[in-house]
Amino acid sequence: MKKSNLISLGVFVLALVWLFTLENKTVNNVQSKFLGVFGFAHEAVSSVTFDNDIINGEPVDAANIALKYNKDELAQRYSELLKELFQLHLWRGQFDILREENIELKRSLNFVDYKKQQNQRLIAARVINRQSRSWWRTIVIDKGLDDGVVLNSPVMTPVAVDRTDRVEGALVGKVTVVSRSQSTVVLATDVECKVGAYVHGALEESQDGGLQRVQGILSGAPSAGTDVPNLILRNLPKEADRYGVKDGAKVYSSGISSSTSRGIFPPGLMLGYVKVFEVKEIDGVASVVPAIDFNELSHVFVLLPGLLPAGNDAFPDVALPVDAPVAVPSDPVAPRARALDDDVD
Amino acid sequence: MGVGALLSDFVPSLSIAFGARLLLLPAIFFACALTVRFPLMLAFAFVAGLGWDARHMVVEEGSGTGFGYSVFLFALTGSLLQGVRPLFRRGRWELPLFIVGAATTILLVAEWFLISFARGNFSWPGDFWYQVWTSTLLCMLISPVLFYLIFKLGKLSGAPVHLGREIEREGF
Repeated sequence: MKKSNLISLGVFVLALVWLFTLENKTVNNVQSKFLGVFGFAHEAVSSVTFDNDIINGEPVDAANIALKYNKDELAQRYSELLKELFQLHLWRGQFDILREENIELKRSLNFVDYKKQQNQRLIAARVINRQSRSWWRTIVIDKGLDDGVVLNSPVMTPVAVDRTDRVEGALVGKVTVVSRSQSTVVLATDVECKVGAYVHGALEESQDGGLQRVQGILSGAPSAGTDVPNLILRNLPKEADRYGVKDGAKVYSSGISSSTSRGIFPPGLMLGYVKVFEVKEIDGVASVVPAIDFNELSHVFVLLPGLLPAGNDAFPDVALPVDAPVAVPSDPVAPRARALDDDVD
Repeated sequence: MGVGALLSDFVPSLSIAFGARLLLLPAIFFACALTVRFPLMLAFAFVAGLGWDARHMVVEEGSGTGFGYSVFLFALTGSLLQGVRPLFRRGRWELPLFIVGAATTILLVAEWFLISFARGNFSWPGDFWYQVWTSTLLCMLISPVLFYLIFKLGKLSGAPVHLGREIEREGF
């Protein structure tokens, strides 16, 4: 082996060891820089919008058409009208899309106002990039450091509950990489995204003889390809099905992390519905259907750390007591949402 | 490689092949690995692997990141391609084409193996191999285009990739 190759191999191995020993913070900085470099390309492509063709043309009076145009002019006018008709069909299709988007955005607006009432600051973001190789793992949104987004900011989206007008916040994921104008969000369907969760309505006996919520750790289930992933709720008691963990039970975030330190995700975020409960060797495991369609993410909301009144902090410094009452969103949003939906029609 | 990394974000996936797509950055790296010397190949592997992990890896607090394992994978596959470099420099690119395919397969399978090992769950979904073979085939199909571009680039830059019967005296 040549000397130069040996030296280069040695340098390469040293560089590799250095990479492996990098701290998470340094790795995040490197990823932020890369995201910022690629950001301009994402923004350029995402800013392409459809040009709505404006229908030009003078109004044609059918009764006087034969007087106004000769045969050749009529043929030309006919082809122009066909072209305009085709454009109208395209326009109508876009109108339907915009109409649906309008309904969704109005619901989102209600959601933002509702969160303001809870002294939580939200910032709306658009999904601008999503790669097929990491479809169920990460998305890129168009908000970053300049907009107040910080590392580990929870990301959520409003979702209608039980096919009603009631809207709740559902967890999408959390921010893992932040650049100046973009952020990468790891989705709740990724196995690396772990959320402290509880099953609504399920109570078990606590050590002091009282009752406490049935809690576990929710994460994505390993999967690939085009299968719609489920979420997995682990660390449940083996008798959890007797306590109310059953098909259709709702799962919410508990606001508690896997350790006793503060949780990243605020409590009360909708996570999904229990599909099936199984008893494993050391604990019970529930398969959870996500509350949102992770295939259709287009607009999300990032929860920002902000100045909140005492006692209502979205990022508590201590773990929530197990038996603390949970602020599950109720109906305040529904009446306004219903009224605004009427306006759309 | 920078252009490849940029364009790879916009290359669509094939829905008929379970979401397989053209891996532009690895394909460009493999083509480059066939034409440059070993030290430069290692440098390319470092840059390509670093960019790949920086772009795709999710780093979780409190867990081992494994950031940089793609550098190792790129270097491994690049070394494999260095073995057929003399053949390629003589203008025979048929075997290197297949080696590029083999390198793509090795890269994808090794990446999946490492991810599964880190997560402690070795599951092989049914469509995994369709994705691997389709991605491999796409890389093999675009390789001749990349070889051609590299030859042209070499001529334009005054450092041609030697063709013909010139015997390479360089050893490994």
